[in-house]
Amino acid sequence: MENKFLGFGLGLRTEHFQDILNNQPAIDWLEIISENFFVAGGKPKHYLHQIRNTYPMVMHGVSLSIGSTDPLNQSYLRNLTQLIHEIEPEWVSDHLCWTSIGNVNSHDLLPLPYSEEAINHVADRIKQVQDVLGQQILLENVSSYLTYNESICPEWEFISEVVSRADCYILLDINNIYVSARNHGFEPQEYINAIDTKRVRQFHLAGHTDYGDYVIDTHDHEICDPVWDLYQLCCQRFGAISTLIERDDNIPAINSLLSELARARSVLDQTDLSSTNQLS
Amino acid sequence: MNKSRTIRTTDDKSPTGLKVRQQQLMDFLLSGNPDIQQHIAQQGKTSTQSRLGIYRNAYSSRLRDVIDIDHPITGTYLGDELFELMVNQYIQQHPSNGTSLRHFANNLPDFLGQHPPFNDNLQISELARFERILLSSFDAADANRISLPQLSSLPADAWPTMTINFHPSVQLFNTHWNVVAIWQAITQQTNPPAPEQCNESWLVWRNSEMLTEFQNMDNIALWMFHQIKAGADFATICESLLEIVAEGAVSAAAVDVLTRWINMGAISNIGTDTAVVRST
Repeated sequence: MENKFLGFGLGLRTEHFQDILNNQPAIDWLEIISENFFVAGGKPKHYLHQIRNTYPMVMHGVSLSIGSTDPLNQSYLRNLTQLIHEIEPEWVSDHLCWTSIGNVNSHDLLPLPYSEEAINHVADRIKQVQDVLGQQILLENVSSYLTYNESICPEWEFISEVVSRADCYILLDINNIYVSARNHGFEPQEYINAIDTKRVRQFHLAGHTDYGDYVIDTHDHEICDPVWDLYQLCCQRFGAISTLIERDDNIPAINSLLSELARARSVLDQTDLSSTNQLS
Repeated sequence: MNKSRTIRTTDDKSPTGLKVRQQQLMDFLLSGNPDIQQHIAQQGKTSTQSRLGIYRNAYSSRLRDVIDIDHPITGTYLGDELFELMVNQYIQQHPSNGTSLRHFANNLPDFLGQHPPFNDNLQISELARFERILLSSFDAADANRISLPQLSSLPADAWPTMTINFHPSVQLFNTHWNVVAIWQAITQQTNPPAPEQCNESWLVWRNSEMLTEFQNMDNIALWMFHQIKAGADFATICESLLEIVAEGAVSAAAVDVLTRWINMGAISNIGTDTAVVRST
């Protein structure tokens, strides 16, 4: 999978459907939540196809449950495959986590223990999913609020080992690194500097809610300055990586998000790329 | 760049394996079962209980939002206190077992019809069922719609054997309560009428503008609906209508209903012995 730089994109949300169709704002690409379009038809699908005619898209899932000890959900994979055929996305991503067990879905991105058992289990399942989809996928690091006692390594070593064994790629969520760093007391720079530059294909930027002793990944605020600083570090380390801003609650008018996209573009423009992508 | 992996192999095939841990965390989300707590590391100022609580709060909050979004009119009709009671009981009794939140509240009408205090007022269950039928019609499969000129172009000898197919969004809502009037009043922000028992049948469909509509069905339309769903051809439909319509008025009554449905965009195609007439 080549490192295709799509530019600076937004998560496609229903609140912006009409604005995007009518005004075709200067967004380089869009990311859809795959499961939102696992429907037969109607207005959401109609808008999706209309918008797809104008913008490059990637598909981002929340229910693959790649880390679950349940069998892989074949029905889910069929829906995903069907949508891939419809949308022809640049790539497909989900999260390095689990969401369901025993046929009960938490609809949350639940953390895995960073254990050898989990690495073996997840890497094997990623390979199976990639075989079914016929393509390599991207997996995103999630925000987390707890650590299991049996974890034997930091998250950055866990994710590095998983993607290496499974031969997949990373969607590096820089806000999630910040959130988890605050919640677990590690240095986010250490995390970023440990990630193989050849494995990162996409960045996520987002806002969160700061409760002082802990931080929750709410996607309902603007991106904060420490996350912008980490983005700058990521640009220096990884170079030009397709960058996307996520907003899922308290969704503002699209112009407000375009301002944040402009800031992201400016950060990359001001980065000396001559020494990037050569660090691994 | 940390290229050397520090992951140690460990005997993770113990009873504290991945599957057990996932089930423990899910049990905590669903019921507050504290077995997971001893497996969570103590970190910083935030207690393990608080860390787990973040996930449990997110779980119930997310599912609550789904019911709120899917059932705004039922929510308003119940008022805040009963709505919260309904949400808490439903979440506890009906964990999500699908990958899409779109179907989480599918069992809400039955739940309301079976559990006190809601089953003391059966119109509540019916109101929720009406909202689910509207949702189901909203994102049903797309299909073409036949026009009146296409119907008119049929040769006279094709009419007796023609079969009629509804648009995939078409649904029948039979109710014993005046819940559509209640739904309309609340939608228009006026006081809902007192609940009254009545037998009503409503046709629900998504029109060509992709807006969901509904229309009260008279006896003839209801009769024809059931005949069409049973696969009857037009001659059989007319013959059966003799049970409720005077002989000389049958054809005109049937054509009148069919014309109305075509104008509403509720008919996808008409099959004849030799061809299927559908819009292009």
